This record gives sequence, C-alpha cells and structure tokens, in this order.
Amino acid sequence: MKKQSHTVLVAVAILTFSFNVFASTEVHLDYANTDISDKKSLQRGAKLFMNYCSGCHSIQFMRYNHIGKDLFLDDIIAAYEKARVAALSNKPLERGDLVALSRAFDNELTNLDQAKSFFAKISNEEIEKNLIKATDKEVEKNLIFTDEKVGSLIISAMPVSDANQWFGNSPDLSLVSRSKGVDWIYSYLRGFYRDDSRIFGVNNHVLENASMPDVLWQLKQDKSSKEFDQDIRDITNFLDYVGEPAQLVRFNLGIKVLGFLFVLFIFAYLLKKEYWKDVKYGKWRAKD
Amino acid sequence: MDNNKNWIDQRFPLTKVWNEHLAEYYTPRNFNFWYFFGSLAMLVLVIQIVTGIFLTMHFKPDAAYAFASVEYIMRDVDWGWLIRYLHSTGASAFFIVIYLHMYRGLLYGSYKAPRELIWILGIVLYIALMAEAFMGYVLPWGQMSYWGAQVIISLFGSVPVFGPDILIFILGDYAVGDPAINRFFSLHVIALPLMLVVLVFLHIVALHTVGSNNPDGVEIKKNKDKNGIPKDGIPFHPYYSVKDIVGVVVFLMIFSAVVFFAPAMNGYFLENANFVEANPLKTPDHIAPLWYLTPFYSVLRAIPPMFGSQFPGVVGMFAALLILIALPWLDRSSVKSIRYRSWPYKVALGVFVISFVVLGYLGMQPVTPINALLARVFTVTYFGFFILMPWFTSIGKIKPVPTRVTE
Repeated sequence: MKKQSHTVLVAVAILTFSFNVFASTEVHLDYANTDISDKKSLQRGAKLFMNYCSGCHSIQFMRYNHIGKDLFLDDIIAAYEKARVAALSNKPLERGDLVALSRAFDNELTNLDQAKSFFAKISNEEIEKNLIKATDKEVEKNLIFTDEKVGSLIISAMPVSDANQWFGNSPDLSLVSRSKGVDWIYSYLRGFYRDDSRIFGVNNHVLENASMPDVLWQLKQDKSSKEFDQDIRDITNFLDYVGEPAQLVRFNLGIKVLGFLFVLFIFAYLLKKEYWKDVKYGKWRAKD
Repeated sequence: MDNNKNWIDQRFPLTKVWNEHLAEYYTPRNFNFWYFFGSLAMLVLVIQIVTGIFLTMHFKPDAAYAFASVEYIMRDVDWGWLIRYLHSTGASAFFIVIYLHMYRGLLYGSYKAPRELIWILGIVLYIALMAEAFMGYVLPWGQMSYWGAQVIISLFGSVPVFGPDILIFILGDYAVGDPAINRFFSLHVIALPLMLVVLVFLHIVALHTVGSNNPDGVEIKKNKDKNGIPKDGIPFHPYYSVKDIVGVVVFLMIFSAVVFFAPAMNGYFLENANFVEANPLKTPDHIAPLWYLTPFYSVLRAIPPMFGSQFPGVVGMFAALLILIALPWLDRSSVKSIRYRSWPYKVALGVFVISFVVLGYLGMQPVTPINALLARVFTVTYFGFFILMPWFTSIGKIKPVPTRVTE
C-alpha cells in the first residue's frame, strides 16, 4: 500500500511539475550549415568520429558495413567503372585504376591485357559481390580499430560501467542529431573554453559543466579556425547521417513518388470529369 | 462469368450487397470538399493496418528491446524506415482527417435526426482511436512515450478509493514498465484495431440505412421519382468512387510530402525527446502528449486540484469527450446546414473552433500564469458551446430551406 500511494504521489508531483516548469533557458546555437548529400564531408566525418569520438562514445544502432555501403561503395563503384571503361576501349590504364581494380578484386593486375582478360571472364554477380567485399575492406582499414567484424554494431571500446565511473556517463550518439539537433552538436563541439576549476580544465558554453574533456584540442591548435570549423561540421554531418541513414535516399524517392502521384492525379481528375458529365447533364439514369 | 455470379449469389448476397452499398446506394449529388474525409479516414485506417502488420513483424514489445528494435527497423530492415514513417505520419493524418470529418458534421448538422446513431458510433470510434494512438505512442519506448504514459495512466490513480488498485490493474506493476508495454502492445495491435474495424462497419451500415446528409441538409429521400430513386441522388459507384479517387490522390500527395520530406514534422509528429530511450530515473523538463490529444490535456490541466485530488480535472477531461454524444439532443434548431442556420449558431461554432484550437495549442506549452488563465477561459467556452446550445439554436432568424438540393 505504501508503494502504491508513493506512485500516485510521484504522478501528482509530475503533473504539478509540468504546471510550473518554464522552458529551459535557451542557449544560443550556431548554424551548423551541414549538407547530408555531401559524401566527402560524411566520409571525413566518419573518419574523424572513429578517431576522436568512438573511443568513448558508441553509435550502437549503426553497423560498420552500413556506413561502408552508404558512404564508400559509390567511390569504389566509380573507380571500378573508370577502369572497366578504359580497359574495354583499349585506352591505356592508369596506374591508379589498376590499383583500385586489384584492391577490389584481390587480383594482381599489372597491365592492360591482364585487365582485359579479367573483364572478359568475370560475371556480374561476382562483380557485385566483390565490390561490396572491397567496400568492407575499405571500412576495415579506415574505420575499425578493434577486432570487430564489419557487420557488427558500433560499440565503444570503453565499457559502460567504466564510463559511468570516470565521466558520470558517456552517452550513445546514434540519435543525438534527432534529440538535440545538428546545430546543438556543432555548437557544443565548438563550445569548449578553458576553465581551470573543472577537472579536465575545460568547460562548455552549450552544456554548462560538461564532464567531457576537449578531445579535439589538438585539431583546434594545429588547424586554422576555418579548417577546424569544417572538421566539426563534418563530424556533425556524419552524426546527422547516423541519426537517420534513410535521409540519403528519402528525398530522391520522395520526388519520384510525388511525380508519379501528380501524373496519377491528372488521369484521376479526367476520369472523374468524364463520369460527372452524366450528372451535369442529368443523363446518368439513361442507362436503365 | 454470369454463371459464377449466380453460383455465389445463391450462397452469399454478393450482388445485393454490391448494389445496396455501391451501385444503387443513392448519394446526394451536391457533396463538396468536406465530404472527402470519410473515405480518406478509411484509407488511413487501411494504411495503418497494413504498415502495422509489417512493423509488428520486427518490433519487440519488451522494455529492454523496444527502443532498439524501432531503430533496427529504421536502419536494418529493408524499407523499414518507410513503413515506420508511413505509420507515424498515418497516426497524425488519421486525426487531421477525423477532425475535419467531425467538423463537417457540425457544419451541416449531420448528427441531427435521423443520424444520431451514426454520430454516436462516430464518437465511440474517435475515443477508441485516441486510446489506440496513445497505446501506439508508448511502444517506441522513448522518453516521451514513457513519461506521457506515466502521466496519463496516473490519472486513473486519482479515482477516489479504488484509484491505486485500478492503477496496478492497468499497469500490472507499480509504475509503467515491461508488463505495461506488453499489454499496450496487445491492445494496440489486436484489441483496439478489431474494435475500430467493427465500429467502422457499424458506422457505415447505419449511414447506408438512413442515407447521407449533404451541404444543404435536405433529405433527398423525400423527393423520389416513380422508380423510388431520389431525384437528387446519384449512385455512389461510379460517381463518388471516381470522385473519391481524386481526393485520395491529392491526400496521398500531401501525405507523401510529409513522409519523405518532413517525417518528424518539426517535432509535432515525432517528438525530439522521444529519440532518447525511456529512463525512469530522469523526468523530462516538459511533458506533453502528441498534438491530437492536447485539447483534452489542456482541459485536464485547466481544472485545479480540489481537496488535494486531481480527480476533478480527470472528470473534466472525460466530460469534454463524452459531452459530444449529447449533441443531437442539445441542438434544437429546425434546420441542419450552416447555410440556413441563424447567426447565433454561426458565432457559437466559430467560438467553439477557436476554443478547441487554442486548447490544443496550450496543451503543448508549459503552463505559465497567462497560459493557465487562457486554458480556463477556453475550457469554459468549450463547455459553453454544448451547455448553451439548446438556447442559441432556438434563437435568431433561420433562412428558408429549399426542398431540393442546390448546385
């Protein structure tokens, strides 16, 4: 009984609380100006994230090979296409193209003839399989620093219990772009300032008394402020993508769907107009 | 073909049903824009059921996995993001369509005799839909799912004497937790949808028994030709079926625009705070239900606690819903349509719409002294519309109603 009345009390407290609370004090946020369709920026963001953030933060709903497919597959396909076109049109293959091909197909191709005979006997399924494998290899090389598999979810190397002990917590960042917004991420990462009263010597304009150290200090020191802002923008862009990978496809698909519906509308409207001629001229009963 | 038809007709009234409800269901010829929303509501119901079936294949109704399984649907399930957005956008679209459908009823007096039962079934549908939407909103197990459920369910705890026991009965626990998400899932995917489908069936059977109202509020069945066909009626199929297809396509264009370009609708369809997993130890700064429930949430908050109990507010909130049932008997006017009503009704309807919209807005905002005052004022005008209706529908000069529908 005691526990029950406790629940009711808590509930009533919540209600009264929601009566009195004001919107939390607004912090000024800078405009992130990210572009989700900028693949190069997303690739740089992925690399920066894996180098500077993933040690402590997971993106536990995302898989390595999903990032590979979304952000790196295009480049590998493009390299393959370029080499294929060159080989089939008897143009001399550039060294870079041969390297890309060799990498993609586990094949030591050193000259044009080898490349040509290679294209003659390879099947389409094999090409597709190999391009995906090549993407996975790219991901393994550039993004995975642990012994995880490419199909794994991206979990941080730091155990959660340690994180809680050392920093209070170290939140998962899969959905930070959806809960806080890109402007918040951008402003937060740029918002560190020196404060010797804090344990790591820094504080943050956006999140007062944040327990996170300024892990990007070295970038800030080594680069111009414009370059540094671009790095932050890339990380923010990458986290926006991680928050909702479907963004990469839904805009284009939406345009196609709306186009189809528009055409359908024309036909539906004409059909209606045709039928309603009967009603307009009082002819519909002529049928019986 | 005819043989097959006969074979079936001897065993099942296929042709009879087809004719009664489509080919020989005579519908007033003067339907306007407002008459699209009934068929659109059925379309949205189908969208919700079909997308719901696919979501159920991948969702895990378990407090430990629910949130992750939604993100799994958003990322790893083929087309999962699309199915999920169709379903979440569908929820809000359902209420937009239903609110417009109900407003049509108010405009043209569609609830008045002989259509009282259609109206009552519609209100029961509306309340069932709110329960369905509320349960569905809990399932993704985000912060707002959890705390919204905590607040709304705790209302039942304010019932005198039995409150705490009712609360435990509903939740299967002392707080919202794993038993709650499991039973809400069950109610959301089978109990309530089943009820909705049956109610829709009854709503339509009742409608087709008395026939549709129209923007003039004229009973077309009073004017029949020698074959017994209403002179102002046209067969639903093909005339209104082809017209509704146009409505469907326009609706789908707007719907798709939201699904593909703004599925979160800036936090109105998918709240930002709900992208954080439920945490029983961390109360969000500001708890508000989704937009379609906020007018009633406002009424709840507008009524102050009495004798240390929130119960009066809870009663007020449910009264705001249930009072809609009395509408056919509160309206004393001899005309149905707004076109021929007296000016006091037009003013009252205007005030009612403003009250509903403002209450909806206030329900999303944190309570400040000025907001609390506004919520109280508009709660009074909301109820005033119903309580004063017998008076303002019997005064003022009505316009003469034509015997036939106008173009």
